[in-house]
Amino acid sequence: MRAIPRALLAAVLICAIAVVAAALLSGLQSTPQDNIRYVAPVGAARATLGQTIGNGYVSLRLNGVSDANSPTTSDIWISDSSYAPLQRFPLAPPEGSKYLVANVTVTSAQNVSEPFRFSDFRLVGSDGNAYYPNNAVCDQGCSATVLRNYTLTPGQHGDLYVLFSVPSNISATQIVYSASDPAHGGQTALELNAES
Amino acid sequence: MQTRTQRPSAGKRMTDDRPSWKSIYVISAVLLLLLASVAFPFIESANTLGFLGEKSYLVILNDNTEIRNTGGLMACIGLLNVSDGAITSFSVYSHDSAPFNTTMTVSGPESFLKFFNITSLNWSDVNVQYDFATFAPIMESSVQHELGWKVDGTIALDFTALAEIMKITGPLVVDSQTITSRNVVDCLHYATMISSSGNALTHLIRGLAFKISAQLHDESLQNSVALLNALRAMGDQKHVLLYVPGNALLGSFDGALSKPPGDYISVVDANLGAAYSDFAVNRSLTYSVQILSDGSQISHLTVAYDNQCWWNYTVFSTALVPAGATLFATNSTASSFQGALVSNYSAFTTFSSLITVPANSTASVTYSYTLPRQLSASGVGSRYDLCVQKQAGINDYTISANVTAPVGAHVLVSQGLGQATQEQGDFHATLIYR
Repeated sequence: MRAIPRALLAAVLICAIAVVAAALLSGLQSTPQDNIRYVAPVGAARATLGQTIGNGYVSLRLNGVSDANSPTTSDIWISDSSYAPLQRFPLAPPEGSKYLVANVTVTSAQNVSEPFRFSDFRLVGSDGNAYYPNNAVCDQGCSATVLRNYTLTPGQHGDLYVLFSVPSNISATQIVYSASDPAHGGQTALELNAES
Repeated sequence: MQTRTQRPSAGKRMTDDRPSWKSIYVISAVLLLLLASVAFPFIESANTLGFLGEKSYLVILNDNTEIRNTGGLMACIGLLNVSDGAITSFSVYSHDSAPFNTTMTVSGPESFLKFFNITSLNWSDVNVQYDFATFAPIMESSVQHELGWKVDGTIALDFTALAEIMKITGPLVVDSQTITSRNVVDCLHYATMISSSGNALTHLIRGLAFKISAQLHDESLQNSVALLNALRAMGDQKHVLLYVPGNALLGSFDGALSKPPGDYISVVDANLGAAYSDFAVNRSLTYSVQILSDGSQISHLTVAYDNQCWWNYTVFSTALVPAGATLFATNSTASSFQGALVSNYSAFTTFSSLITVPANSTASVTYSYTLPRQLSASGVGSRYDLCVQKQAGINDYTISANVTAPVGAHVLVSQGLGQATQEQGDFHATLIYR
């Protein structure tokens, strides 16, 4: 009679320890979130697909977002890559991901050179998360100096292609350009709708 | 009778239940010894890595999108000083800035020097040894001689490891640029390309290193455990390499080529001028073996490359196989091919080739060779073991191995053979026959 309660007690204790340890370890070993939830900036100006919008320094028009593996997009990327600092960029994404390319027409809106960085773009995915650029190419119109020197010179006008790595089941809902405002401080944000 | 024999037993148990201080001391001592035996290697490792005191390390960041023998092109080289686990200073030099934009004399391996007929290389290209454990002491000696750096060990990590670390830390902002696990590799490449002196790259690396280090100190236990798990997994996959002589626990992460008994293959590749292409080049090894009645064997090893880049991929590929191998045929489907050069070492025989794989295309090389007996006894039968060791820096590869026992033999055990397997680490297969 005494042996049975002891065995039961031991079994209950072992089970309890195992349950607590498993719960603790599963909690500890879970990978933290690597995503950033997109929060629309206050006062962001918005444009529909194909509509031009500006912040006083630069005007932008989103012409479309396409998969880098589509023949048209990959052909443009390869032919314009000579104007990019990172010329040889494989268009084969990692497993479970795809590359989306945003085609944005960029026009200088000032008669002086202004800072302009392609890394100030972000893609808002259908999951509500923000994705940050991997690479960009531009055509002869905006030339490699835009990308290499982070500068938009007066009169520059051309097509910029910004590439984002996203999970393979995600589509683009918006392309957002958010940059510091050199004259007034703070940030200016342009939200370009990627869906027609 | 049964009841009578049980009663004294029950009575004895009751007697044993009474406290015995002697037994408690003995059990406590045994438990303490067990605890010490488990804890000591960890304490020693923590001490070795600078969590308990001050240490200096040579740090190498390998760009494994441009694969080289010991894990990738050395994009950055640095001197890291740590004290109680915190970075006290971190000097970083890009591969194309002084003092690393000069050349240095290369020591071995013979296959590489002979194939290219060279004796010196740029610092960033000198990791031509076949494993990190051989290369690290050479590099430590060089930086001590050339730069006066006295280090306690060498830590190498590649871009894959950095991306994995950033999955734990989450996005980091360096100079108002948001770096994530998805874009960190390209941001590093971009920083390399926009600055010819390498300043942008070293600035970014230092920024990331300090942000990650700060997060390590501030993060929750959950993130710290996740980070340790990620680092251990990256160590197992040879994306993180540690050369700290004398530490048994960390010694297994030195990436050393270890030739176990039996058959063996390790393919070691060096991307030659094909830029950042290796994440878009899929490798596959196909190996077939015919064991002959005397235990010797005829082997055919095919190394194939699927180049998904829109430019040509040129690779200097060396297959390491057991010493005593005799190459009798080499075939390649590559548009441009040179080889195979055979070199003999005490532990290995190597076959080296220069292969060009056209854009969006595949190419392969097949080595056909004989091997002396590689079998061991297994009870009443003979045992064939195959170990395929993964190169540091390679993300993954596919392997298919087929072994045919001698005519008339009866196969008792077959493990890991016959099927193509996606492997991220080393590969093992066994065949036992009678």
